Amino acid sequence: MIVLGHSALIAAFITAAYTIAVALLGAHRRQPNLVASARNGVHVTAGLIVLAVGSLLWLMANDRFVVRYVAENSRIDQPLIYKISALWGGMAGSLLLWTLVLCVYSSLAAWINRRRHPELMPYVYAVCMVTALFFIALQLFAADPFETLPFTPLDGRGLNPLLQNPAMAIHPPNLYLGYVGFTIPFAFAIAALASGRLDTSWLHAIRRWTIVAWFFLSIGITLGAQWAYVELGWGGYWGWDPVENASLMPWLVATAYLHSVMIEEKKQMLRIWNMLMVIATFALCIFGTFLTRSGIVSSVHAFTTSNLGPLFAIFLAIVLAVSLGLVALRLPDLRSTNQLESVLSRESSFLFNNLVLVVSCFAVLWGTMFPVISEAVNGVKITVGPPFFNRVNVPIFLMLLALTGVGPLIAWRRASWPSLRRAFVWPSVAGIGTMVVMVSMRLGGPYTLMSIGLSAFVVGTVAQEFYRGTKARSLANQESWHQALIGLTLRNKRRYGGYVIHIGIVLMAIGITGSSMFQREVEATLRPGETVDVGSYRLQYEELRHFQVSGVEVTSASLIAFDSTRPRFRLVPQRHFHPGQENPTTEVAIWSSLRHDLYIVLAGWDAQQVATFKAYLNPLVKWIWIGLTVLALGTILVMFPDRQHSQVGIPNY
Amino acid sequence: MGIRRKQVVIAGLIVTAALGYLIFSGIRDTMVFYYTVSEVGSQRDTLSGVPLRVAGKVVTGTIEISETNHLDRHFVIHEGGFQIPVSYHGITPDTLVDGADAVVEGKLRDDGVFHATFVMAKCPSKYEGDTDLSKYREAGVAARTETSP
Repeated sequence: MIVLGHSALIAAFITAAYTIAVALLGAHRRQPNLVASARNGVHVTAGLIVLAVGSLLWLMANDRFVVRYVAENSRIDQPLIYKISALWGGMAGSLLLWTLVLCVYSSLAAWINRRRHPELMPYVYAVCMVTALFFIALQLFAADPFETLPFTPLDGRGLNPLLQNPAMAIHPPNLYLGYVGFTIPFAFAIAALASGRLDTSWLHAIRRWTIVAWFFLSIGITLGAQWAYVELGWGGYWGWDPVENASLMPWLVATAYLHSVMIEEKKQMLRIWNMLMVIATFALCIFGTFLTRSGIVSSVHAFTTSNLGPLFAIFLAIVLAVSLGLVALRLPDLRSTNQLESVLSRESSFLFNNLVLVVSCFAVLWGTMFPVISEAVNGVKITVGPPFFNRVNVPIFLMLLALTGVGPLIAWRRASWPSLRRAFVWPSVAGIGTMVVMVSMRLGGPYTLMSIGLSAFVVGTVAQEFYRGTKARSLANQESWHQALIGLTLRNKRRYGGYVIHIGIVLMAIGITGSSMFQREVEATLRPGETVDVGSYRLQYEELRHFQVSGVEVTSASLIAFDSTRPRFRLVPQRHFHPGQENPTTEVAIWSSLRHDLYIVLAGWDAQQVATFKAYLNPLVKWIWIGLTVLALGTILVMFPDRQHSQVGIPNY
Repeated sequence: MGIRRKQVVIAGLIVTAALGYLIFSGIRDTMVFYYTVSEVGSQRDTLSGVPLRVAGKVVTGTIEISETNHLDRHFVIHEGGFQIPVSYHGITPDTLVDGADAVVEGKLRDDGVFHATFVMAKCPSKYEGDTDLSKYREAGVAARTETSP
């Protein structure tokens, strides 16, 4: 199996190189048989990578500890699910997963477009396989997942216990499905530039790819936050850690692109900009992969310092040089003929949304890289942390929230004042009304007021859109309200799915505002029987127990939460000592409701059962996870084609 | 360039300038110097009271957890022949163990103790790139004998 896996990697390296050569030759000489051969090359490469992954999984499942990667990331009594998820628990395996996702996506793209875009496809194959070649080369020459040890250990070290968590088992694949997914749009962008086919055909080819990648990236980021919340035990879910930032940056730029592309489809404007957004998203994905593996910035969850940094930097430099060079070459063909007609128009509101998203991404990038930048410029390493990111991004996100409400309602080209009044009266009433209620209840400072007020405003705009659309349809078609609502949504999935996504974003914004503005923290050292108050809850400490579960030594405290003298629920925070690992892991206890989460950490104890707890009351955290679900459902809606569009090929919204 | 377009460009420039200022002033007001233990050790007098982030390794055997509240924690970090005692109130990361790479943020007080408000740690050998395999070979053997009946 070791030989099989390793040979499959070597063979994939060769077929990828072959595919690149044949694809470029085929494009140059316009020979369809060469292009067809390149397409087969893509499929074969994908098959070989599947074989390599299968071999590694087999080695993990069968405890072949002579393989270094297996010994470092797996253990005999590790549950099978974590033997499998150990595939992305370490460096070499995670690179293999990256390659797998890339090759499967490429193969899928090749199959879907086998009879379409004959001029674009050879370049698409070439770009995909260049990327694959780079990642396979990393594994063959720097981080080989099939490297063997000079001896066979009796047992492995086991997967990092922090990673033994259901959210962690599915978060990285989601993130990779997102990250890597942006390779396909990038490949089409380069193909359009290289072939000169710069009409909107490449945009249509990548529409669903960008949405799918964005979908997985959104899920991946939020699951990562959930993992941090449940597993790291500091009471929060987002710490502006470089690794978190690395996943947020491509999301911000991709979000900008998903909006600005509508302007290109509708008005053939912003063509250079959109090209740059696609390139930037891909570059940021590579950069994020590099950031987490190079060790150039210190982070809680980065992989260790490795020798891969310079290789990634070179690849990134090549990607940027080639793509920007091609853009410069095609600049004359990319100029748009249409112009903006008014500041008060959908175009300009999208333009501002893009500007703000890109600046936000730049701020995150700048803050993340500041230690490196300042050291290079001044020789002094200076860091900025959460205070910087919050200070810059909170106003930015408030602006975005406002644009989320304004964008969809404002008219294309030029909005008139009466139309603005008609569109915004009721949502504004909702927003201002909410703020007035909050002021009268003395809830929160200016940022909180604005955030919740703007959220109400956005919900108002979306509700109004659904209401007006449904009403018009039910009158016109003599349908009942719910028939009209469903018909309306299905008829124009992109538009109404987009609204649903906006609602998801608003729910997340409310959850983030609530949990960051109103968090409460309590520390207490208690004897059994003693109590402590957290918000409206009274916690009574019962007892401390020590026991063993499948090799893991557990210290477990139990507390009963009383809600005004009535016992409501029990909380059991724990500490786990995994065999073969040097440090214990904290297992927090969380009781979650729509209003708030009660979050308890067992901080320490002594032989007399005296224990210290840290308790957090985190309002509205659950809204973030619910918001993600709504966002995901909206995105799924958007993914399905609208019937009339798929035939004519002209978007209509 | 039409008047309309000019308006849009001007509005865009204003927004960009405002956001640019936000980034600039944000960095200026929240920046923290990042030093290693030896850099702090050699210029201790000038750095007292300045917000700092310091990187070093935890000295084996120095991690102390208060008996009374389990939350006052002390440890010493070292690097390049210098040592700094650190005090912290709160829960330190699970990864803060003997020999771990630690990054602490806070201020150096006049008594020479670093009062940390934030502690980050990475286990010495858990991550990859560790060439000393004998350590976990033994751990592996121990684990094996424990679990197999």
